[in-house]
Amino acid sequence: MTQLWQLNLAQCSEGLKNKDFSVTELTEACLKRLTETEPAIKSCLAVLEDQALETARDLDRRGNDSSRLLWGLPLTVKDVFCLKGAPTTAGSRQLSDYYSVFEATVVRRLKAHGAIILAKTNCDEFAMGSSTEFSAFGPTRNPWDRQRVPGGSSGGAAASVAGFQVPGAFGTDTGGSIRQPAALCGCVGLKPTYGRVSRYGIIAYGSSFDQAGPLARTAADCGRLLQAVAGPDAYDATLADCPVPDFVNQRPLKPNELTLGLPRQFWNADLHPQVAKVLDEARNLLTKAGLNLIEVDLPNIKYAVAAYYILASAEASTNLARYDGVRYGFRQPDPGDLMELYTKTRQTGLGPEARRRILLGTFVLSSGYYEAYYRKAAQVRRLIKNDIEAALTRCHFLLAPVSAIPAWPLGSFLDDPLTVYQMDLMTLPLNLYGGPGLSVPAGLGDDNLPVGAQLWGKPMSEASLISAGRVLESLWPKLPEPQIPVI
Amino acid sequence: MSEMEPVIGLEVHAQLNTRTKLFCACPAGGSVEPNTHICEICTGQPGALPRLNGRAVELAAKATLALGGQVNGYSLFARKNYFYPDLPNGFQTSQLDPPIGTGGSLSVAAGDGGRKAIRLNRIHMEDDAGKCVHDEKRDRTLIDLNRAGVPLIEIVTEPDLSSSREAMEFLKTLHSLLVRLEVTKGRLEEGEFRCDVNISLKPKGSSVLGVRGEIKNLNSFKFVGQAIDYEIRRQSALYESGGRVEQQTLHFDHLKGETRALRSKEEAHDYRYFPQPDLPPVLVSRVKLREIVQSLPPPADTIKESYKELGLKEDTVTALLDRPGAQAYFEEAFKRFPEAKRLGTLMVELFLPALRQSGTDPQSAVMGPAKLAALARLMSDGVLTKKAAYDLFPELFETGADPRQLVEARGLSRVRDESTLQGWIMEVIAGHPEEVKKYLAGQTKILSFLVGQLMRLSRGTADPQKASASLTQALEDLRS
Repeated sequence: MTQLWQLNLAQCSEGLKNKDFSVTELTEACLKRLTETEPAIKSCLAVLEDQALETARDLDRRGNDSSRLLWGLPLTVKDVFCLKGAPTTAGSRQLSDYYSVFEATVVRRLKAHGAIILAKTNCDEFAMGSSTEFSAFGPTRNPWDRQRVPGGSSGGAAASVAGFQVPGAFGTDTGGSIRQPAALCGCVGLKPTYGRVSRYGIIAYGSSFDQAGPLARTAADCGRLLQAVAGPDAYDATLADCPVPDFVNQRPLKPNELTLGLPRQFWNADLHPQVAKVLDEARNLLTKAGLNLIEVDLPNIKYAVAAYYILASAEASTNLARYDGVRYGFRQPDPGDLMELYTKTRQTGLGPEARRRILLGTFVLSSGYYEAYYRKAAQVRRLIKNDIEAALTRCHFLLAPVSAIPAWPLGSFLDDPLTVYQMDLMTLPLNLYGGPGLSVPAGLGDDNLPVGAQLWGKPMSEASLISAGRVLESLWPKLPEPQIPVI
Repeated sequence: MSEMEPVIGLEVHAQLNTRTKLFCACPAGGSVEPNTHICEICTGQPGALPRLNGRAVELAAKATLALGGQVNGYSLFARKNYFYPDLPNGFQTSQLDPPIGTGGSLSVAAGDGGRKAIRLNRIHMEDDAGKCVHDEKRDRTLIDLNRAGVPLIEIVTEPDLSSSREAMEFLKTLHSLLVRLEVTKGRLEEGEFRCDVNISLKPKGSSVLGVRGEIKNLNSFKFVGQAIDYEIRRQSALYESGGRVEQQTLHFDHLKGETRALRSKEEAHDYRYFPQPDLPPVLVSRVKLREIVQSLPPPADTIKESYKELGLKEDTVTALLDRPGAQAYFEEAFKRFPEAKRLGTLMVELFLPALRQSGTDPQSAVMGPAKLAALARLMSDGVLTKKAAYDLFPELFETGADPRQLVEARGLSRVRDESTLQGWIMEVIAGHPEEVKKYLAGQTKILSFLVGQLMRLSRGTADPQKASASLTQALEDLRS
C-alpha cells in the first residue's frame, strides 16, 4: 500500500481535495517519516513539529480552499530563509542562536498559499559550498549512500525531497546550489530567472546571482511551487517587472516540437564513466523520441569559473561584513579592543569556506586590484551572457550535464577548494547569464547513484522550461525509491 | 621662502528633508528614545534589502538643478566598505560613478569686491550612519541606530576657496539656499548640515597643490572658520620650519581651538567601492526633471532684490530667507497688509524669536499670517501703540486670538479722546508740582518725564505725540 509520504506534491494536493486524507494525517505521516530517516540523512537543522501540526489542524478546521495553491502541503525551506519561531542560521556558527524579526517574502507567500513548513534544512555556511560539508552543524548525507555527500549548498533541501521526508522544498541557487544537489540526490530542481522570485528575507551570498527556487519529485510540482512565490515584491528592488504566467497548466509539448542545444564544451568534458553512460543513454532516448538535438558552442565558457568566483566572492565579502559581533549573532567574549572584537568574532564565528571567500572577495575589490580582477570578471560575465544568448537563438533550450561526477564520498575534497570550484563549471554559467534552469534526473548509474541533466532557458521562460522538463521526465527512466535505514 | 596661499575644498553633508529614511520606511529624524526608529533594513539584519526613497532622489535632483549642476538621468549606488560599530551593514550605500548630480557652482563675494564662482564637482546621495554613545562612567560604548539610513546629499566643491571667510560665506549661502528650497531642514545643532574641509598650502601663483589635511565633521560656520585659520597657521609653520605636511585626517577640537590627527594616509581606508547589487540604477526621466525645474522658486538674489525694493533691510531679508517657511508666511501676511517694512520688523522682532523659543514652524504657528497682518494694521491705523502691540504679542502668539477682538475686549485702543486725555493731564500736573515749577522756570527738558508719567497713567494707550502736544499746551496755559 502506498504511504502518504510517498506521494508527490500533485498527488498530495489531489488526495486532500478528495478528502482521501486530512492535512493533519499527511503532516503527521511526513513528520513520522522525517523522524525515522533523519538520523541517517541529517537533512534538517530545525524541525518545526508543533507549528506544523497546529497549522495543519487549523487548515483542516477551516476546510479546503482551492484558491490556495499549496493548501495543506508539507514543505521544507533551506535555513537561509528568514522565518519566525525558529533560529535562522544559514548553516553558520555566527548565527546559531539568531532569531529573525521578520519573514522572507518566499516564506510569507508559501504560508499564504496554505503550505506547512515542516523543517529548515541544512546547507553549506551562507550557501557557500557544493557538498553541505561546510555547514557548521555537520554534513547532510546522500539518501542513496550515507557515506556520500548530497551536493550543495541546498543539500538538506535535496535530501529531504529525495529521502521522501517531504514532497517539496525551497532552496537557493547562486552558482548551482539547487540544480547540483537535485542531480546528486535524484530529484527535480528549478533555478528561476534572476528577478523572478523575491530575495527579501533570504540571507545573501552573491546578491546579483542568488535566486530562490523549488525542489520536488516532478517538474510539474516545481511549477506549482514556483507559482506560489513568483512575482513582484516591493521589498526587492531587483525583481523584474514582469507578469507571472501559469506554470501549472501549460499545454504539454510533443517531443518532436523541441530542439535542444548541447554545448560542446560540456558534453566533451571529462565526465565520470557512470555519468557519461547514463547521459549517453538519456540522449539516445531523446533522439529516439524525435527531439532535435544540435551541438552549440559557448566559446568563453572556460573563463566562467574564474569570473564567477571573483564576482560572487566580491559580493559575499561585503554581504558578510554585517557579521561583526556588534548587534546580533556570535560575539567574541571580552575582546581587548574593537579590532579584536571584529577579528576574533569573525575567526570563530565564520567557517573556513566563508572566510576564504571573504578574503578572496576583499582582495579583488582592493585598490589596485579592482581593475585587474573585478572589472575584468564583470566583462567576462557579459561575454558569457552573449555566448548563451547566441546559443539560445538556435534552439529552444540548452541541455547539459549538471555534475561531471556522481555524489562523492564525504571528505573527498575538503582540502582542495579549487577542484570543487571547477566542479561548478556546468552550473554557474547560468547564474552569470541570469536565465532559468531545470535539473531533471536522467537515470541511475551502475553504482546506484543518480545522474542529472539540466535545461537552460531564456530569461522568464520558466513556463515552457517546465513543459520541456516534463517531456524529459516522460522519456527517462523513473528513479526507484532510495533505501534508507529507518529507526 | 615664497609666500604660501591656502587651497580649500569642502565636502558638505546635508540631511534631506524626507519623512522616511533612504532605504526603509522608518521615520527620518526627530529626537526620540534611542533605537526606536529602526527596522530590519536600517539595522542590517540578515536577509534585509534596501528600497530607494523616491523623494530623496527628487530632493537631490532639486538641489543639483538649483546649484546649476547637471542631473544625471542614470546614476548608480555603490557600497563603500568599512567596519565601524555604528555602521550596521559593514558598508555605507553611497554613489561613486555616476552620481545623481555633476558640476554646478555657487558664488561668494571675492576680496576685490567682485563675485567669485566656487565650482562644484559633484552631488551624490548616501545614507547616514548611526551614533556611538560613549559611556565614560561605565567604560562602555552604546549604539543608537535611529540615524542609520537617514538620507544625505554630499556636495563636493572644487578646491576653489582661498580663505576661511570665503568658506564660511559659501557655507552660509549654500545653507540658506538648501533650506529655502526645503531640500534640508538644515538644523546645525542636529548635525543636519555639516562639512569636511580639505586644505593645503601652495606657493602663491603656483598651480601645484600641496599635501592636504582633511578636517572632518564640522557642524558650525564658526568652527569651520576657526579650524581653517588654525590649519593654515599649522601648515605654514611646518613649511617655515622646513617640516613636512602629512596627508592626514584631522579632528577639530573647538574647546582648544586646534586640529588633531585622527589617522594618517598609511592607515587610510581602502573603501573597496563597487556597484551595490541590491539596487537597480537610479533613473530620472526628462518629464520628472521638467517638473522639478518648474517647482524651483526664483533664485535668492532675485528675491532679495525684490524685498529690498519693498523697503526691507538686508538683515530682515536674510532672516526671512534663512528660516524655512518664513518667506511664505511673510508673503501671505503681505497680501493682507502691503506695508512690508512694518511687517518685516514684526517678524524679525516678535514672530521669528517666538517661533524659535517655542520650537514651531511658521506653518504650524496658531497665529497665522492674517493675524500678524491684522496686528500690523492696528498699529498703522494708530489704534495700537507700539508698546501696547509688543505687550500684547505673546498672548496673540500663544492663543492665536484675533488681535482686533482682543484689543476691543481689553480696551487697549489708543486714546485720542480729548476729555480722557485732559483728565490725565490734570492728574499729572497736580501730582508733580515741583516738576511743573521747574518747567515753568525754563527747564523744558523735564517735559519728557511728565509725558512718561502720563503714558504710565494711560497704560500705554495714550497717543504719545498727541499727549506731548496737549501737555505742553496745558503747561503753557499755566503761565498766563
